[in-house]
Amino acid sequence: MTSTPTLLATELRFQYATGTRPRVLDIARMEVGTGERIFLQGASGSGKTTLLGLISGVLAGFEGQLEVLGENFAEISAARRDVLRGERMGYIFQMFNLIPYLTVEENIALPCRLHAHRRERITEPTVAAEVRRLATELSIAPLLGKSVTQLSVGQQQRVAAARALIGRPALIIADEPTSALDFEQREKFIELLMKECEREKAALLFVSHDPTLAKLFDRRLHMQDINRTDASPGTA
Amino acid sequence: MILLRLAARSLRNRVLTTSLTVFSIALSVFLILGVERVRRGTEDSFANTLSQTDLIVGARGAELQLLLYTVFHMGEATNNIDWKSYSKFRDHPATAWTIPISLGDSFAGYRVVATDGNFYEHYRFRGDQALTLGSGRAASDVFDVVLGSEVARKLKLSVDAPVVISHGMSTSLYHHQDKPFHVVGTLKPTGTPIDRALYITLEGMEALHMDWKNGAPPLPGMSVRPDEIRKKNVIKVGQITSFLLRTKNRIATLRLQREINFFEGEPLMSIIPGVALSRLWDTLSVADIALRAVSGCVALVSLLGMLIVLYASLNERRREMAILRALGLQPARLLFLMLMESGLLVLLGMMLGAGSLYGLLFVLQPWLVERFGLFVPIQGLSLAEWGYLGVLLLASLLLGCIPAVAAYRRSLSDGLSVRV
Repeated sequence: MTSTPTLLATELRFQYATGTRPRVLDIARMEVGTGERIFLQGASGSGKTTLLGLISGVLAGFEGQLEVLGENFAEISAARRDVLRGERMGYIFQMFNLIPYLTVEENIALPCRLHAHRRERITEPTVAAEVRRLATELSIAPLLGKSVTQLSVGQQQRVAAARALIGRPALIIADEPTSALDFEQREKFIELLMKECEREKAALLFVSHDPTLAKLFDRRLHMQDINRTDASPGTA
Repeated sequence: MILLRLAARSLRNRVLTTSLTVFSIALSVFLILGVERVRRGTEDSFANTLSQTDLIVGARGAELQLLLYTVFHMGEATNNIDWKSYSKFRDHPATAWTIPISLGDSFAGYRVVATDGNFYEHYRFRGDQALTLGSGRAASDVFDVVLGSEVARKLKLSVDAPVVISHGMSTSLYHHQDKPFHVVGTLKPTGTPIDRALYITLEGMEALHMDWKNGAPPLPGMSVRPDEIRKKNVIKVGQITSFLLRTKNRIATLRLQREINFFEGEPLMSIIPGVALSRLWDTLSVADIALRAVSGCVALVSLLGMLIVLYASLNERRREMAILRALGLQPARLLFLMLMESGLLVLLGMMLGAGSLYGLLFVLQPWLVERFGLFVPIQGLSLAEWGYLGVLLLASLLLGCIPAVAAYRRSLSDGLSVRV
C-alpha cells in the first residue's frame, strides 16, 4: 500500500433523485490502494452497480467524500470526471457494451483514439501493435478485422476486456467480466488481467458472483459488510 | 477525426433510418430549391418576354396598357399610329430596326398579330434567343399565317391548314370567311406570349379590312375576293397599332424616347420595356410573396420533420451514448458527435435534393417550356439559394441540439448499465 490510495470513500451515501426510492448506498469507509486487487461480491440489488457508477464518475449527487485517482469527485466537474475515466480507468461491462458497427480492432483501440493521454501510455510503438498484443494474449487476434456482431459471447467479452486494458489504466473496474466465459477462457482472462495489473501497478475492482475466484485477489469485500443501508435487493 | 468517423459509421449502421431521414431532407431541399427556381423562372420568364428592344412605341395613353397589348397581346389600344409617323421613326438615323405590330383580330380566342419580316429576323426574348420556325416558313404572302406553338398544339393545326380569322377578339362576332388564310409555318415554343398568337403580314391585315366601310363589314356581294386582292400589286398599309424599336446605340435611346414623346405629328408615347416589365412585375408581387411563403412553409415543415426523425432515432443510440460516455467521452464531444451526425444527414440530404432537382430539370426543362411556357434555367445555385441552404443547415444544427441534449441526458440517467 502507498500513502495515496487509488480510491478512498468516506461516509459515502447515495440516493437516486426520484425521491421515492430509499438510499441505496451508505458506506462508512472504503479504500483501495495502488495496485491493490479487490474482489467485490454481493447479492443482486445490494448496490454494486451503483457503487461502480459512483467510482467511475458516471453517477453524481452523492454525499460524503470520494477520492479517485487523486481527484476529489465532490469538487470536480462532470466533464473532468469523464476525462479522468477515459484517460485513467478501464471499465469492463457486464453487458460487454461493444460498439456494433466497429470491428474488433476498432473497438479495442477506441479509448486510445478518444484520449491522447491513453494513446501515449501504450507499451508498443503503435496503437495497432498494442491492440494486436492484447488480442494475442486473449486469443482473439484472428478476429481483429471482424465485426463484433459476428463474435460469440465469450469472444465479445474478451474484446471488452482488451478495450479496458489498452493504454495502461490506473484503475480497472470489471463488472462480472467472466460470467460468459468457459473455464479455459476464464483462466486466460484472469491471468491476463492480473498480469496487466501487476505490470502497471493498476488497482482492480472486480465484481463477481463466483467465489472460487476470490482467492486470486488481495482482498475480498462483501457489499453487505460495507453498505449500511437496509435496501432490499432489487432497489439498486 | 475519430468523431467524424464514428458519426459516419453510426449512420451507415442505421442504414434504413439514415436513408429515410436523408430522403426526407432531400425532398425538402428539392421542394425549397424547386419553388425558388420556379419563382425565379417565372420572374425571369416575365422580365425576358422581350429583350434587345429599346423602346415600345404606341399611341399616347397608359404605359401599362401599351406594354400589355404590344407584348402580352392583352387588352386593346386606344388609338393607332399613322404609317407616316411610323415610317419617320423607322427611318430615323438613330434607329437600328423596328418591328411594326398591328392588332385587332383573333382566331379561336388567340390574338392575330400583323407584322413584317423584321419580326422573324430581329425579335428577341430571354436574352439573345431568336424566334425559330418549327415547320414551314415565315409569312410573306397576303394570306399567309404563322402559328405560335401553343396555338398549333392546342388547335392541332399544321402547315396548309385553313384559318378563318374573326374580327375583334370575340369569336361570336364577324368572321372573315371570304378571306381565308393558310398556315405556312409554326414557331417553336418560346415560353412567352409569342406562343399564344398567330402572325400574318401587315398587308394581310389590310386585306381583311379592305372592303370595310366606317368600321362595318361589306354588304353582301360587295366584298373583295382574295384573287382580286392578289391582282393588286401593292396593298397600302395605313395604320399600325404599335412598334418595337432598337436604337443603334443605347445612349440614343433616351433622346429618341423624348423625341417620340414630343412628336408633333400625332400624340405618341414610348416606353422602355425593361422598366415597364419590372413595374408590371411589382404590381404582381402578390404571386411572388405567395411563392416565397410556400418556400418558407416547406422549409419549416422539413426542419420539424428532420427533428422528429432525429428524435425518434434517439432510442437506437442510447446504448452507444452510454458506451461512449463510459469510455470517457466528454459531454461537449458527445454533443458535437450528435450535431455532426445531424450535419452529415443534412449535407447528404442537400446533395441528394439539389442533385435530383438538377437531374429532373435537365429532363423536364423543354417540356415545362412547351407545356406551361415556364422556362426554369439550369444554372448554379444563386446567392439566395445558397442562403436558403445555409439557413437550413444552421437551423438543422440548432434543432439537432435538442435530440443531442436529450441523448446526453439519457446517457447520464442510463449510467453504465443501459439495457435497451
